[in-house]
Amino acid sequence: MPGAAEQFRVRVGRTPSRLVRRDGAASLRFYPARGRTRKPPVFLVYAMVNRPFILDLLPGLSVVERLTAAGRPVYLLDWGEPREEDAGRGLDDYILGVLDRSIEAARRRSKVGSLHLAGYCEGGVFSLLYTALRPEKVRTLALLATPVDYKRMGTLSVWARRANFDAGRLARSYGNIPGSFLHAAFEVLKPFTSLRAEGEFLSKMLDGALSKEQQEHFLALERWKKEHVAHPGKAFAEVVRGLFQENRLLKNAFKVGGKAADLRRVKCPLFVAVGEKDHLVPPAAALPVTRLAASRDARVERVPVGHIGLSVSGRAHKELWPRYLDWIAERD
Amino acid sequence: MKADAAQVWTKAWDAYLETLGLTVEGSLTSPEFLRLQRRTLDMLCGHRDLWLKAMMETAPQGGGRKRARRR
Repeated sequence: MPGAAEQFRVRVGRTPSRLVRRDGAASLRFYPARGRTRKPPVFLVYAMVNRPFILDLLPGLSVVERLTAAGRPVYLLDWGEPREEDAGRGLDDYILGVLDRSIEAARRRSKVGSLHLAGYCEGGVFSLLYTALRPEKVRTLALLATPVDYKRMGTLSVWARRANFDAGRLARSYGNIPGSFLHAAFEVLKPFTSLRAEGEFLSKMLDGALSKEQQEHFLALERWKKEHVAHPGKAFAEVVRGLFQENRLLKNAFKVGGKAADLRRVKCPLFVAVGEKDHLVPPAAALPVTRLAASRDARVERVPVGHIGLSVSGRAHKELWPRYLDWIAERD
Repeated sequence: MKADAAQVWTKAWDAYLETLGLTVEGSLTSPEFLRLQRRTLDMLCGHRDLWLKAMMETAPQGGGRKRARRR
């Protein structure tokens, strides 16, 4: 049964773009920069578990819009809804396959040797592993709310322990892991938070205390929260086993398709952004990357927001993204 | 008057949900909750496996259509 907010289809992802590539379920969109520019592009990678339109939510609250308005061309990789046959595809297929082919396409189209890679949450983990495996293609790496110490992810770390969770069994039974399962788990982490937010929204709206923009913002976020995407089964089991249960990223012992992803090969400039109120990826889980990677040029940004606040809060748009733009401009 | 009452009620309801939420959140890593998590997964996977098995058994076998046509 659809939620109330889903019945008001707010138009999201309005920044002009064109589809430049399809790769199985995945697609690559290109957002041209405003004005004439020859700046190297930013390549955005989002997590597999939600739709990437959170990065282009609404005008004024869109990371993509902010980047293109500053004269920066943008590519956004959408992993898409996995098909039945994707259930058996592992992380190597996605990182050394889909991601690598998409970055190659972006490099060819933009005629640049390397680009600014920026990954969010699980997309950040994939970007980090990719940089360790293909460092020559990455000019700078930005990691937003990206975990590397999976033992410091609070309740999620406990739930994912081997004694509590058999991800392999779930993947064998279901193939791809239904998005509704992952959504339910995220909702249970903060019980009744959504219900309280909906109550507050309704009460304020009935009082006429919300502007049209505020209503649109709430409904767009609700739409994003409820549009879950399934996670490819084998890749999910690899994430749970290798990262959550064995914490291999922190031990610098994670392998992608049999190849060691040595984080000491990440030498490019590194931009790490964490949300101080992030309950999914707390700063303690994300910050160790600055000592695992060999980058001498590392910048850490702490923003007093939650997990998605790094992309859709006014604070992030006023402070974080302008700083990121200045930072990459100095490293073009 | 009505508006005031609605506001008081809304605030009280929100405070109740907040307390309830914090209580539940505090129990999410308890042995009881983790047992519930394991059992729920067992049940979901078991149910799914049975459903898939039943689907396989009721699906037409290869050649079934040919035989039917011959008849």
